[in-house]
Amino acid sequence: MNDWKKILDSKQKCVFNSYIHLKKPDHRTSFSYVNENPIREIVTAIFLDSNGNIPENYEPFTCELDPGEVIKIDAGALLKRDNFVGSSMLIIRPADQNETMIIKNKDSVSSWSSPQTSCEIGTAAFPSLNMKGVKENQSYYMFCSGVTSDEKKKTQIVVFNHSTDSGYEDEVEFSPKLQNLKGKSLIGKNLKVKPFGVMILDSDEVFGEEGRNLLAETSGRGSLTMFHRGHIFSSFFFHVDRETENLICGSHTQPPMGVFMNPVALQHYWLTSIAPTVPFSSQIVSLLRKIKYYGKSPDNS
Amino acid sequence: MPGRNSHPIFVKKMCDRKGIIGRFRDILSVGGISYYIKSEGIQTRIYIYNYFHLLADENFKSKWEVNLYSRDGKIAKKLTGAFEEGETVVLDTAEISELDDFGVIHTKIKCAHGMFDQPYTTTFFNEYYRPDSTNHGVFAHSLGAPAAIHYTYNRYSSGWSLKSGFRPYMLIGSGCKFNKIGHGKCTRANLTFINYKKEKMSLEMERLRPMESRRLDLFAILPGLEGHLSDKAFSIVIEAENLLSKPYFYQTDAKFLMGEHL
Repeated sequence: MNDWKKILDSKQKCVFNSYIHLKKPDHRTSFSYVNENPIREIVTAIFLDSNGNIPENYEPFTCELDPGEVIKIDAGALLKRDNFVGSSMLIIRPADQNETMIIKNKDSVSSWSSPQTSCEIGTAAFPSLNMKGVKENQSYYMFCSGVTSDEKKKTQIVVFNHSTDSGYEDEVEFSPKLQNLKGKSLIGKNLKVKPFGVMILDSDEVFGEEGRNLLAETSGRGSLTMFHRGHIFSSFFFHVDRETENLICGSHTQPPMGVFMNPVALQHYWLTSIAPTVPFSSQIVSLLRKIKYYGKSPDNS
Repeated sequence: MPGRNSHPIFVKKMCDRKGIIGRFRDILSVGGISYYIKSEGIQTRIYIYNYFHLLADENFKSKWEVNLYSRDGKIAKKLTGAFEEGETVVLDTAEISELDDFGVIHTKIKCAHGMFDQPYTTTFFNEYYRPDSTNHGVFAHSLGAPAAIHYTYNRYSSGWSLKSGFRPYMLIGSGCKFNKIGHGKCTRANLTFINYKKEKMSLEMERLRPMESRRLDLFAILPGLEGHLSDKAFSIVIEAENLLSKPYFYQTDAKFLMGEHL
């Protein structure tokens, strides 16, 4: 059953992580992808249950895409079932490993729909994830500021314990913390996720009545945080309809340390701070640049 | 004193600045952007969480500032406040009357506790929702910050698909922060929609001045786009100058709402 992991040993590959939500017969989960490389690519859709195992009777779907060709993968149709919750790994690799596959800017859009709701999340590809020798120095600090819990809606956070290492066997543990809008907090029970598994954190189940009461103090809203050292994960959060279990809306989380890594605005910080308040600032900057590079060839400037 | 579970790199970024420099400890925040919608039955909630509290694992004092721009690039409303511990601030456009139908949200979380050794951006989330419906909405994460620099912006975004009966819109803005006096319409964008047959359909957007934004009704601007895209996956290619990174693509049928940043 673990033969599929050999694909991860391909020299060139990238992976999209996503979530499969088929709780009711009318739920639909699909993943769209376009091969924007000038070479042929192989797409393999690995579907995994919450413990990281390939579901019974599912043969991983594989196809080849010509340059510019699109694919929309319907998880329910491939699984031939309508009651499955788990994760997907869309593994993309060049048909000829000697040709170079450009991974930068690769996107996939995941869609979850029902007759009453529609929700989609766009994600970027991981060229490598939780590789031995790298993961040990990485950490995962996650916050979800859109937690809601009321009579109609609840919040679900999905964390993928995936890797691009075929030998990955790490079970990981999290300790979630729920906070209401005022910052009053509640620590939840520890949660474990098996390798290639997915953690589906239902805020009501993990924090129980105490958690609902905590959020009720601030109109049913709050934030949830988690941290972990030694691995990184991609994670999604959703608002879920309590009655139908439809996914109403969602997003992928954003690593808060990313705020120190945005290059454009940070590289030009002083100019960006001063220029909005100074009339003719663009002309002044342009003039100063001309003076600075006066007499120098364009190559030197 | 950072807590036991603090982020080690975050702790290293903290530096002790006293005296005059220490007074300006909050100026290094350049913020982050997203778009708000306040029209056609759609409203926007903005969620700002004091994540410095998470990274420091202690009671980390921070302030927040939200500038809401109208489509002409002027600040329609400015809101500020201070966080307490792991507080979350939720702002709702339904409660702010001064706003345009749409525009840019520029949010800054400012460190008021110590000082960082470098400038930093801001991450926040916003939710587009319909007040008359509890089970439809869209979540969006924030993106980069505008800058006083002119640059080329190229983006190839794939995997999109149109839902049958839905009408697509694109929120797009200028990322230029130069003062408007003496500054022309520096932002331009060319959008190309490539369908599953690799056929292209393009439009050149009107030029924008600093911090201006537009909501493009794509079916109105590009007649024939619906048939061109059909219900198959398609790509959007943007070739632009000084564009606010990134545009937001959404589709609605007046009841449902779905969307995502490019």
